[in-house]
Amino acid sequence: MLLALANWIAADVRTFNVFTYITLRAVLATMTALVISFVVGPGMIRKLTLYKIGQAVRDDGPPTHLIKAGTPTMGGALILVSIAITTLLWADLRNRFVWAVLLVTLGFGAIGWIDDYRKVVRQDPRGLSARAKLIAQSVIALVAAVYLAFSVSTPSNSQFLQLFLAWLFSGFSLDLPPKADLIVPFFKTVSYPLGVWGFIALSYTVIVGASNAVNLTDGLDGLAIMPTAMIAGALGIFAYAMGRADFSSYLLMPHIPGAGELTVICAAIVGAGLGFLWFNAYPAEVFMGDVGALALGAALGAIAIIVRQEIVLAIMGGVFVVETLSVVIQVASFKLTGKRVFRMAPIHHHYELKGWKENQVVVRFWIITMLLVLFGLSTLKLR
Amino acid sequence: MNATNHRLISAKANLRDTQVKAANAAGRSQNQQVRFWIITMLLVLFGPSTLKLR
Repeated sequence: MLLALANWIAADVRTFNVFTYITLRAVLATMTALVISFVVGPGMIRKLTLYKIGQAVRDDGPPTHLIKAGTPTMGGALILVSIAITTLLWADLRNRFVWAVLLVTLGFGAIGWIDDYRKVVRQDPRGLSARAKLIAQSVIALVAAVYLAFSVSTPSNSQFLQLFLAWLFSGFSLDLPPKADLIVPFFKTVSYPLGVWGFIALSYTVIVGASNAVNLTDGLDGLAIMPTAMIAGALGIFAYAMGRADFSSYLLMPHIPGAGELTVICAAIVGAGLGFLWFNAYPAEVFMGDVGALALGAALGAIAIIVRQEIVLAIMGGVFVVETLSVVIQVASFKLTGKRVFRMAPIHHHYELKGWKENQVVVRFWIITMLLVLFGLSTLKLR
Repeated sequence: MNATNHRLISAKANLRDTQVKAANAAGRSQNQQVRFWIITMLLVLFGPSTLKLR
């Protein structure tokens, strides 16, 4: 919105041309999102406390978590408000990828909101049933996956439609161009051609998987938000590089026209994340709830798909991947053998029960994510 | 016997209060640490932005 205004003023005052630079708008987006979090946060926490929108603590969890009962939840709404306002202010609203990511984020946020609302406000411990939640997630993820399959392969929406219709009339046999291939990190010439169905299946898995992985990780104060902010920052760098013909050519990556604008959304996620962490740091004044966790995970997934870095997302989000695997392994092991592999799943509870303090688990997982993000960024050049 | 029990209960309650106060104080200091990290992180972001913003 402000970009359109700046462009209009720039016709008379040339200084305003500076706002066309993505890098400047990204810096301003981080600060705007942070300021919105700081301004809206205390009021929102007061309201959530007033309406008794408090977190229920699992009975079988670590005993140290019992003091968390009653801490207001659904603070993810603060993150989403902050990201949405900032993106609408600073991003180029003619960019199709910006809308795709924003709609996926808000769509998953809405699912989380309904689940949280039922659990906390209506005091219905079942919330949204697992099946209904998965169906709703699948619908949004599949629509996004189909759209992204063709829009990543074409530079504009008109060509997107042409390619989509050509695929339909070819009896679903048309292949996507090489830029839609799955990029294998560390290999210059290796990429896996997915085809339309492969692209849709992978994108669906990435969006739904990332969303639920962040949700599973969100069990300790600050554990989910900081890695999310770090990964968003790194994906912003990827988006900037992919969006520039010169950078992508130098780095031997596919050029995705328009992807650079996602740097602004990534910056907004970083700002909103740090702003939320201010209130979510141990001892948390507010939890993000499903509304925040599902939305942020889906946002990371959608951005990674657009910048063609699905494998790098799995590397950088190693903490999220391990948290999810720990739950899968624990459930599978208990059902098959009747024995538990971990003292408690997800794995952050396992370490707590081993004697690590909550803050130690959180900061150590941050450090691991920081290293993984650096490793992921190194794939830009090391190939 | 009752008086002894009463003293024991109040001693336990005092100990619990002390522990809760200590935990709260520790929590507050940890909260401050993370907030100082956030401020530093922003300043670190602000530093490289001077490369371009001139």
